[in-house]
Amino acid sequence: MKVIQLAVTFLLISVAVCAQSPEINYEEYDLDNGLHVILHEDHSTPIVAVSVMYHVGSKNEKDGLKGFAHLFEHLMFEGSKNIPRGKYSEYVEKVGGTLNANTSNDRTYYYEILPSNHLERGLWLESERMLHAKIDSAGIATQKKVVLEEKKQNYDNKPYGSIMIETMKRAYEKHPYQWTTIGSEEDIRNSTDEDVKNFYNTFYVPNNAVLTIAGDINKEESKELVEKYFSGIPKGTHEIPRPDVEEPEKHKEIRDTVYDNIKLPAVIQAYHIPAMGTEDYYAVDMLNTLLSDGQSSRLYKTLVDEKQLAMQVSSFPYPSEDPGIAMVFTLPNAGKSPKKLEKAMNKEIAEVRNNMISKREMKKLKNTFETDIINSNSTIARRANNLAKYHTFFNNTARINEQIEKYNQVTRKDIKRVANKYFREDNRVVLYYLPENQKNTQ
Amino acid sequence: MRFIKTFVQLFLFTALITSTLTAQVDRTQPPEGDAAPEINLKEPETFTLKNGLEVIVSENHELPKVSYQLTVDVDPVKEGEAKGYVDAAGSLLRNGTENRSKAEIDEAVDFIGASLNTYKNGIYASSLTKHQDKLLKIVSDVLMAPTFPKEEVKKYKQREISGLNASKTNPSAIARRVSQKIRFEGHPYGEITTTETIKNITREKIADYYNSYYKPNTSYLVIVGDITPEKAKQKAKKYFGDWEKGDVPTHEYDFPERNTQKQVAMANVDDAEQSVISITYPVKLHPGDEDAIPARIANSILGGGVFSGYLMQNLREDKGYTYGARSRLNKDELVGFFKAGAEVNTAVTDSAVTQFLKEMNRVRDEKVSKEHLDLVKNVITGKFARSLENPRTYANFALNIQKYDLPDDYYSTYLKKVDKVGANEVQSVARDYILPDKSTIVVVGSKEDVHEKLKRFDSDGNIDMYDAFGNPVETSEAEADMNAEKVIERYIEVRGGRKNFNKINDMVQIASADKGGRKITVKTFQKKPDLMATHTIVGGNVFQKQLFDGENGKIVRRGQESELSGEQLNNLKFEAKMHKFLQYDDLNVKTELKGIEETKGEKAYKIQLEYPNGKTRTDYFSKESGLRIKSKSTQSTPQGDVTVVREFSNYKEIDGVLFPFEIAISGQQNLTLNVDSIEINSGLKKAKFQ
Repeated sequence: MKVIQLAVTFLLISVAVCAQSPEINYEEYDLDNGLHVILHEDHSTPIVAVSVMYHVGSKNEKDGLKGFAHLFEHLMFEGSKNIPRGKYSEYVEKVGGTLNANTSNDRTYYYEILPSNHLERGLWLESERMLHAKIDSAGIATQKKVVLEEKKQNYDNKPYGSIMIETMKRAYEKHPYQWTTIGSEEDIRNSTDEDVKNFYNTFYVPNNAVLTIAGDINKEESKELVEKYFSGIPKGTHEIPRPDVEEPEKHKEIRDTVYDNIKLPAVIQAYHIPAMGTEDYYAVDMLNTLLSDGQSSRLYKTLVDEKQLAMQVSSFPYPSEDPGIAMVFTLPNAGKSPKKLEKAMNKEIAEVRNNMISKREMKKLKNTFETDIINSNSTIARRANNLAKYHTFFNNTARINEQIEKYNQVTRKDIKRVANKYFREDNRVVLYYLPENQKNTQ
Repeated sequence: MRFIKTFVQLFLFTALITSTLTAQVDRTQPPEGDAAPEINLKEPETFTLKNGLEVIVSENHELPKVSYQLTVDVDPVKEGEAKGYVDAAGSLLRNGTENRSKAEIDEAVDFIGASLNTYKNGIYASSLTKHQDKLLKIVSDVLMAPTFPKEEVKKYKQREISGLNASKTNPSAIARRVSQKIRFEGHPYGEITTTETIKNITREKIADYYNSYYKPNTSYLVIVGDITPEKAKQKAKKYFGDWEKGDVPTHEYDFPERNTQKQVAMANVDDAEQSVISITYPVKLHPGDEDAIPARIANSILGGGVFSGYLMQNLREDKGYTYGARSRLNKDELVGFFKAGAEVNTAVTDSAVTQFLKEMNRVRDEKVSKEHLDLVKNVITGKFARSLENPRTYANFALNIQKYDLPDDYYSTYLKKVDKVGANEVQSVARDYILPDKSTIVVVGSKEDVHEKLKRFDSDGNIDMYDAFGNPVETSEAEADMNAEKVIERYIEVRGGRKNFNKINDMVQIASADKGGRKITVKTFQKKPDLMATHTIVGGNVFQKQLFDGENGKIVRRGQESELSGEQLNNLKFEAKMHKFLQYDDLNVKTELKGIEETKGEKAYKIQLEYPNGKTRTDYFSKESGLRIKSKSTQSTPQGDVTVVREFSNYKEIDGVLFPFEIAISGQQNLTLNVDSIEINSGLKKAKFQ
């Protein structure tokens, strides 16, 4: 079958058009079973993104099942009542589409990007997954192996690969963010077929999901197809458990050393910050950009360029549904002392706490965020993901068009205020990654 | 009545619709789409400036941004002992000009939220449309008037050396370097940057390169985004029109020599849990070659960008050896390459290689099914369509047509050409480009675990070893005058000497570990010659005691006693002997020096021990300190053999003897034992062991 028809158009338009900061159009509604549906129409390329975001991630895992949400994501490609094992991806690739999924602490996201005449196939695939996924024991056994290899490849067998694991473990004592999505080898191994069933029945229900269709679509036709494939999926009957533990406020620095198979040390600081989307989060995000985004940023300029203590610096907040962390990550230059480097980092951070940033810096931050936000919506796939995200976490899809405004509202005072409130020494974890051979000489 | 009738009809109609929507949904078959959508290829505008700079403009007003990409299209040069200076020239272009310091450039670019990257033979700059003039001023300046300040060169070299250090233990980075070195041997593509070559870079080399090779008449400028061709022309003239043309040296190189037979190359990473496999060789395949499209299809069938590819389905979905297995067939004007690879569990390294070779042979030997061929063609077509979402794609098409001298309709007829390829053609091309028997199988992983098993894949059975930067290494490095006895004698000496060890009549060691938030304490009591008791305490309660009084042994668990006998008792009797390394000869433990290996970041003597019961263990003694830093043995478990590694560190002195205060154990379970105390000669009574 033909996937697409190719035509060559010679563009001779010479109308001087100038693009504006684009507003993202969308329409949204709920089905009776609780499934939230978002439609975004854009005909610039003949493709369509079909995605489902389930509001479940590693923070919904029970102790003893760490890493299960991610393993489960792998299992969701095994098939369904009508899709034989191993055919899920084939059905997508057969018509020229692509597919993937990912799991975070807070949600699991599945998507297909298809030629736009195959929208119906995408909806069929996602509805099969939601209605009656089918997973046999052989599939579970294989995917457990695959996930354990994924863990080795990306975390264990890779220098600095364990940084997030080691940081989160120390940053949280109560909240499930203390483990990361890849979880525990032992728990992954020990999970049972019964766990798979329970997880599916609890979390993979329409009332815990948002279906987003974005791209070259006709909205009315899309609505009919959504009705056709999703309206018959029963609403979940289990209560959906959400962690209600609050991580206590921190008043003591946690400091530790990890020995790894590395030649060059690393210094990591992780500060507790508020949840994404809160007023303070926007200011914290800008504060991180001030510190390390671009070669004129404060940490890069002093640590890399002027003092030459570091070869690399970066700092970024992890956007999370519950209060999260911002990481400052630095690699010292060969032969430079990590301690000296940390001292210089601390000095820069103290500077933001003690003195207001300049008006010019504030303008610079706003310019940076304007560009970043426009880029963050530059493809159909990114827009689908962002629309789903704002609905899932804020129940407010309109936020997709309010981001520039949110950052514009942040003031210089806010930056100083959040630096004092969150970037405190007694509100952080400091980790030194050192080469293993230094273990004996410390 | 009429009203009612209408109402009924309407109702029926609605009811009918509802039933088609819900009750009669046929879910059993994947829905087929209707007519395929049409995609429109837009023709970018191209023009040439007076100085010879070729400009390509792809107009797209969806977003208020515009980007400028400059490519200097020159032959590669041999950089030799100063490998890395071409990269340095590119990177340092933006680190200072005749008009601006680096700090000024950084500030100007960041202030407008723009990005400016300079790299080997190229520049990429992008910003919102409204800021483009500010950005172009800088781009023009860094391109035409860079000064490569001495201080910046120095800083660059320091950062690069640090970066190389950071990647020294990264198995996939090592595999990339070793593969590159081997497949491009003798060609500039095969030169590897090392800390040594970085040290040889000078400002002069960088400036010379820039002065000779950065010229408009061999360069392309690609402008993409929210700009009309007229405006683009104005900008190009204004900001790049003064760039002076000049002659650029050209170079020719021989095609690298290819393997005539299969060979295996390895780089060792101690105790690696995974092996990085990369099966590779150079390929003669130029962009636009007649074979290019069928060869791309053949490679996709095998494992290039298709989840349904042979490799992914076999190694991941069927066997669970890896998170992902893929192949790549790279076209190049000079030397292309093939590469198939995965990161696989150490234990299945050789099995994975077998499967790789099997699937490579399958593309050659088996005619692909129509179904799979159609799938692959559709994947390529779908990818082509998706790529058009990015306006850069149109520009890249135009750039490739110019750079590689392709026919003007190369991309507008691309999908037709894909469509025409048949299974026979795929197979015939596969035989030319998929060459399992002439490949180099690069494996980066634990030599100890995989070396023997990989020998059978090498045509002469000799595996060449490489270091982290692709330099050949000698396999046996043990010094001639060293032997196992000397290593062990030195170990005894540095720990405090025989005299001090002999003074120890009994000892009590208390150590604890954290296991998933629970505290585990292990108390070990030992008394000469072979009395031993171990108490394991979990969460404050004694979980288990193991006792041996020199003759009888037993295990006590929750008040239940079980006597040990047979092999278990014999093993314990041997295990209970205090400080066995003092008397290996008397105990019939055979020792052998197996070489010097890098482990835990230092060089270590590797000593293999063979016990009277036939079991073996490998101990690693630091070459520098003489202390034992690691020990490796194999334990049988219901799930098969598990390698247990113990690492010893934090040696502290007690009564003139050094003891390791931290013991990290990994294998079946991972935990770190921290020694809380060691007490010597407290006068333990025999009763303690009964």
